[in-house]
Amino acid sequence: MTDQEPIAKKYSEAVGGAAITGAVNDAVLIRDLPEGTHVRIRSGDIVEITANPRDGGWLFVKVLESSDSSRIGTDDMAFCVDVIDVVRHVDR
Amino acid sequence: MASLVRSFGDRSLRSLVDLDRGLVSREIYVNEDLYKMELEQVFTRAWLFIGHEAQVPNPGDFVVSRMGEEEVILVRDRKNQLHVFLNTCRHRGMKVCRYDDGNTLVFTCPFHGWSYDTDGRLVGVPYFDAAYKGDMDKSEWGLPEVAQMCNFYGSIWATWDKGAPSFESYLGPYSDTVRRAFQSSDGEDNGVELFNPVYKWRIPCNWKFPGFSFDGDRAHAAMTHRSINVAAIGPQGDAGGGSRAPIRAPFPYTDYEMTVPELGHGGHNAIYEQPGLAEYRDTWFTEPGVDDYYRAMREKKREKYRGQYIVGETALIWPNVNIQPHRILIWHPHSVGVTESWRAYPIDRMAPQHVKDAQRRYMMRYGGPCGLTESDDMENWNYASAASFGTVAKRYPYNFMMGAGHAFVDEQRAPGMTLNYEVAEENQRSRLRRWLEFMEAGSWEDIYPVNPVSPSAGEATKSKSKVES
Repeated sequence: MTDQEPIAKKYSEAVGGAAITGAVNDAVLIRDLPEGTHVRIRSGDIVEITANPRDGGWLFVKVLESSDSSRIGTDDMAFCVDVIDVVRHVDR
Repeated sequence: MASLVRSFGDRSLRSLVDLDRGLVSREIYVNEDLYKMELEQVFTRAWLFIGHEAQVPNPGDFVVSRMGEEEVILVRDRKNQLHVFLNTCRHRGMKVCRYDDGNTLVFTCPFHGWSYDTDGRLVGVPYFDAAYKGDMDKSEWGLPEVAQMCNFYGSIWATWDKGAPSFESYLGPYSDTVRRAFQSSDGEDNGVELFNPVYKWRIPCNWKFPGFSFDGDRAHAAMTHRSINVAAIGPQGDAGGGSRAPIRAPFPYTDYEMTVPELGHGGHNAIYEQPGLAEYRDTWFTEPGVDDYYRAMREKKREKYRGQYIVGETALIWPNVNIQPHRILIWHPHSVGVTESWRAYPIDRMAPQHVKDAQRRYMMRYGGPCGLTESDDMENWNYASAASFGTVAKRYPYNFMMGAGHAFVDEQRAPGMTLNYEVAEENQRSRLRRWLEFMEAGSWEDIYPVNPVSPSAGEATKSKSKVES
């Protein structure tokens, strides 16, 4: 089981086991996600949104959990198709 | 220094611009190939007006402007530094900014998602690790930034040419004029902001029609603006003869066409016969309270300029911007026969709202896309342009002979300037001369500070200017 599996599994089942390149109807629309939201990205990392340019394409994030310990605490950017799931919502 | 004479078809460029005789071929206003040369020779080389720092007061603020045909972004980055970037993604060229103004963390290309920080760095590339596999260095693919940018008392100027002289050197004797245009009414530097939005509209004429004639064609006013001159659009309404201009207190002066031939700048400027500034004369009869504000501001400014002679209140800064107190006029080339005309209106930043509103209303009815004065001008430029494209029409050169051979200098009162009678075509000849120099030049070394083209209109001669009051 990978971190992508909750959505990936549903998508794979829906398309009859086709290769998974990204969810469509389950896509996470990132444009309005507020700062502080925790999301899971394709690599499996859990990241916190530190700034949202609201362009629908990118998020500024800080890595909270990662299999690569050197990434924890670092700042990064996350592209929309790499955002797999929201794991913690915050109130606006 | 060498001057490269570039040929145009079977005619040299110089054969199209005969300033000694005051004859200029219509080709330079209508020819597509010459227009393309202008974009390269003039608009990638000259200092161009971009905007004003007050348009982008906060980190992340941006406003889209133009340099020649091309869009640029004036942006204040997160470290509070101003930048001017070409509005194009380095990946496939899409505009990365499709708003006129706003505030943003990044400029994200809507095509493939490349994303740029407000300091121009490429910070986001989709699938970067998986698809590029470390083969691309993002630091080499930032937004293209202008070669030089200058914040001149709040006004922002830029050039694509790293060999261009400093902006203040580029302005020459007109640096004081531009500085004062961005002062508030009491003479304080950096004292204005711009009304938002900037007016933008397209007119069917070559950019040089307005660009070369504005502040250099006083002869047109009596005929073209006859109706407006008596239509009472000025702040004073029907009083004061119904003039479109505000009422001014008497002050002894003589108006001249003034230009700096070796730089291309020039305006209709007064030489005052006594130092200081005229006292304020009430004029805003239809706008209660406005005179009170401007009268108080004028007194402060008179105090600042007591004992000083003021020369040059307006100027066409080569190649395409006219700087005046309360209005900035920019003519961007859009195609050989289309100009994108922009109007920006400076207003005292600290003025009360009723003063800002009154000034804005006056400027709107005076100029701009639906202003009465500008409408008069556009009618001429548009149809003069249309009537110059014809095969037969192009056989007949324009006449720029007015005042040729009668220029003079007055180094004591207007150092560095060449003067002519207030109704002349000296400034237009000056711009055409500079145009020729830019079109021929291989680099800035050919055109600054020397003037490789022999003076037109005869040698400027020393002469004592007449005194009028």
